[in-house]
Amino acid sequence: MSTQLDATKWVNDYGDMLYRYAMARVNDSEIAKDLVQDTFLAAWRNYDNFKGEISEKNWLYAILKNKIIDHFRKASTRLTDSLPTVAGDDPYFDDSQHWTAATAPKDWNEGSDAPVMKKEFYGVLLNCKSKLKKIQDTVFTLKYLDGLDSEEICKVLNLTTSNYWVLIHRAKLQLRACLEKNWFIK
Amino acid sequence: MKWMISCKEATNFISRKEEGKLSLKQRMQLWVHLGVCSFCKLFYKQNKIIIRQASHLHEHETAQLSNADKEAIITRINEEL
Repeated sequence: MSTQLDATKWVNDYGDMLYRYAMARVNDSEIAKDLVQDTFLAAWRNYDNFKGEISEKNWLYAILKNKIIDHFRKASTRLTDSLPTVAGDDPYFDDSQHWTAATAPKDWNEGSDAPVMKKEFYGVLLNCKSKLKKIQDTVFTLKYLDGLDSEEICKVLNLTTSNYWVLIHRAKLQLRACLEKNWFIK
Repeated sequence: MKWMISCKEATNFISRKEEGKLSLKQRMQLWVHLGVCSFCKLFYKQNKIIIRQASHLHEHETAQLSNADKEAIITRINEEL
């Protein structure tokens, strides 16, 4: 352990950055704080292994990313209690599996003024994401925020492939509908 | 060979396509469907927007640790010394 390390400087330089990364993924301030603290502790204990091949910042991000995946892995037994039945009701499609009048996508008119670039958009996206069922949110997060593929996600969360595709599909349908209602077509 | 798939299947195929998990037949079925279904074509476009923006989410997160939270973490790290 290097004594030149300055815990105060570290936490002040990187604390908020790591906290935001965690918050966007776990959406729970207590869990996010614990993950950040565990990340700093792990980094502190293993600083001698830090080779400087990547920046200190990216090294911390990599540790945090692993902590977040571990967190989801541990939480998965609780999360998978509420798994959907594969053939269950689907409010987005009618009996012939086509969009219903109420759920059919509308044109977002995301034209030249690019509303998706506005800062407020991300607040709406986060809010819509937080309304997903926890297991759907977790699957969506691992896939699109952390970039894992479906096989890795099934392993982490102990899901069957068919459960995975139902969950990711529903997560997207719900997110899309929520964004349309709260951002694009108010 | 069945060419027409439902909207439910088509939207599902769109997610599988991201991982290269469609067979040649399924890819053709998806393109035939997107050619005639304006709703799924919108879904296809909007799905791209959503997943692109999702990967940037934390850059726009504004949450901050309080000073007390930071102090607690610093104290905890210093206990390791």
